[in-house]
Amino acid sequence: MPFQMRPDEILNEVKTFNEKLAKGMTNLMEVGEISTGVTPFEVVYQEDKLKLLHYQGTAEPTNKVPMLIVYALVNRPYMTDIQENRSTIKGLLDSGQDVYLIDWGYPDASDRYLTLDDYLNGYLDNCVDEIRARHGVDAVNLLGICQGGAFSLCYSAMHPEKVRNLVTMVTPVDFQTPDNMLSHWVQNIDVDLLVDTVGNIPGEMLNWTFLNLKPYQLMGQKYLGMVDVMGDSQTLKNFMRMEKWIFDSPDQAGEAFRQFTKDFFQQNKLLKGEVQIGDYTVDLKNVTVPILNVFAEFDHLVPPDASRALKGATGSADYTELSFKGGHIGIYVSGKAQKTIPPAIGEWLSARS
Amino acid sequence: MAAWSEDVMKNWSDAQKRYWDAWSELAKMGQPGTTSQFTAPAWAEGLEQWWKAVSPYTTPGASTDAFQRMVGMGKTYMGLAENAFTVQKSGMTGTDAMNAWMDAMESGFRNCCAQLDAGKYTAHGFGVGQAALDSWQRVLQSMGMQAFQQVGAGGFHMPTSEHWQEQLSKVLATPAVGFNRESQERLQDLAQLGANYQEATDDYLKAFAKQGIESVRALRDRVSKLRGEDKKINTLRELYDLWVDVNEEVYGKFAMTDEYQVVYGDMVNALMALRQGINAELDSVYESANLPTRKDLNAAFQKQQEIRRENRSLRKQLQELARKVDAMSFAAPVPAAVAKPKAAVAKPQAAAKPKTTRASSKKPSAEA
Repeated sequence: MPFQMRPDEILNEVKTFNEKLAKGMTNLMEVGEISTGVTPFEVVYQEDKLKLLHYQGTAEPTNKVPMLIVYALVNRPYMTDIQENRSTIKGLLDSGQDVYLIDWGYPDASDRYLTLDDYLNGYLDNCVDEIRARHGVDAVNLLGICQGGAFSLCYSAMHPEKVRNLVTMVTPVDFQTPDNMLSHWVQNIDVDLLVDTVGNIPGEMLNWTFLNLKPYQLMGQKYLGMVDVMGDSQTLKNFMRMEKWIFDSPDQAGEAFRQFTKDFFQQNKLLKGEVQIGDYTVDLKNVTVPILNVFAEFDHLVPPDASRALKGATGSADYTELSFKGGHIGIYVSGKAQKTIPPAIGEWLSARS
Repeated sequence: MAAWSEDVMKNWSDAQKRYWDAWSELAKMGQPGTTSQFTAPAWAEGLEQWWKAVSPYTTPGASTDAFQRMVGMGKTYMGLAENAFTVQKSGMTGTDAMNAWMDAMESGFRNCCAQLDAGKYTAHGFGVGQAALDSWQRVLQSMGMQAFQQVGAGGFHMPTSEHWQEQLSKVLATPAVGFNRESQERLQDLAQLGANYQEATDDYLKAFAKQGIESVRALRDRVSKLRGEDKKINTLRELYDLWVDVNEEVYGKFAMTDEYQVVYGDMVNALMALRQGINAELDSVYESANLPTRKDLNAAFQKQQEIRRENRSLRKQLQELARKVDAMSFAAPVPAAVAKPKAAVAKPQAAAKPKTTRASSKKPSAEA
């Protein structure tokens, strides 16, 4: 019989668990402020709640074409620079890139009527113009992450003259692959009722949705595992840093959420070339710049097939895929990712800039 | 928040030591099969008591939230330990003990289903899945819907009535008459929305409980497979991990079914419909008191957004004009007799490169 636990051993495990928890509690009380974001930056442009950050590396950038990172509206962009030895930003700087990043801020009730047109043809376009002006270049390199990758694709299709190269990271393109749990759930949601009722979508609601993708692991097992290592102050601090990020979820501007959910998730219009943003109809065939599509093999949020759909969907003759054996978050923070992903992106960009 | 001190932890540690020493002695008293003097442990409750004692010393914030989640999962783990310990001490063989434990879990989920069917679900019996259900309560809280947190936990059911929903429907169908007819109708509609939300939540919980039953079945299969491969579960943690793994696998399949899509969507939609009804009711109260309503605020926000767009467009036009003026200044020949100083000529060159921060009144700042 597989069940071989003796009562005294069970007792010992329970006792050890309690001791670890108590020790962890003491460490937790001493953990202090949890800092995030380690690389120095300068805010070079602001508009409403948006900030455009310019990161400062230890050496002069070798790539003269600046790079703009477009993060998702959900969660906060400091994930890309979460701690000293876990920073995609740092890796990109080290690879010779001149890195800018958009921090969208935390929308409040007054932002409820922000649309995708405002975000892309307003904020994002202004940031791109700002960088072009600062560097005296016609076009920038775009790096879009997750939803920000979908935004970058749309932007590149609408303003191809302002984009030199496009990197998409864990970016959904086909929103209705058979393994897309998030998309499956959202099909029966009355998005109009949701937005009309609450205005901005509470971050807490998004958290609930994301955690429910793997509830037993993300809301249970993870914390039990943490008890094992929380005796170590540094490990505990790193854990808390991730916790802070996971639950640091800005509310979503209602109208932008309405359009993104209906057009992208429910109707898969990006792939069909039917997304309408302001005066533009987004046709991915307009994207003719070189594309590097980076995705994670074990991504539970954006299944790899959702990203792979980009191949052949654009008008680019220079399309490269980079597959990472990890998850949606691991692609930014795992030790393996640090060593491989930013250098590979840097090398790919430098060869084309 | 009370002041944290080392004494708090020391006192607790001392008490813990005495507690565990007592349990260790008890465990040594007999091998499996010795049932004399055996009392079922209450470790989950102990953990709860401990958390109640120390939580006043914590500072509200991310750390405490995370620790609270650890304690929550710890209680589930302790519950698992209690069960495992109890069946092992009860003298059963390994097979019997495992089967008894799985039977108990399956029975628990079936009980949840039965209670939900009877309209008087009042328990929290979802084991490792409880955290997922509890997180929905946080969503309600974040939306100012605390009053409805008990829906699905027995709060809105009438425990004395087996057919409460049927009776409620009858009450709600009563025609409204008299001076307060409109108000009565609105309240009836609102109560109906509340009942709809209750029903949708019950359906969601029922689906979750059915998935729990399915998970136990899958666990039986997994255990049988382990037996076939002559593999052992030697620790409580291994058992927990196996249980989580099986649950996640079953849930992963279940969550991709049409059934889940419907119950998930219906619960969210029913909550939104209820919330919208409450908003409308609140707005009518505010309106009668001549206070700004949600509708008024939305109109103001919409107008504000239109002005933002107009500003953005005007800014762009201004920049374009400035660029053209700069270009014209550059291109225009300068008559020798009225030649400007060098510095003035140089100015357009600098101006040709757009400045940095423009769109906001805030100045750029260095941060790290």
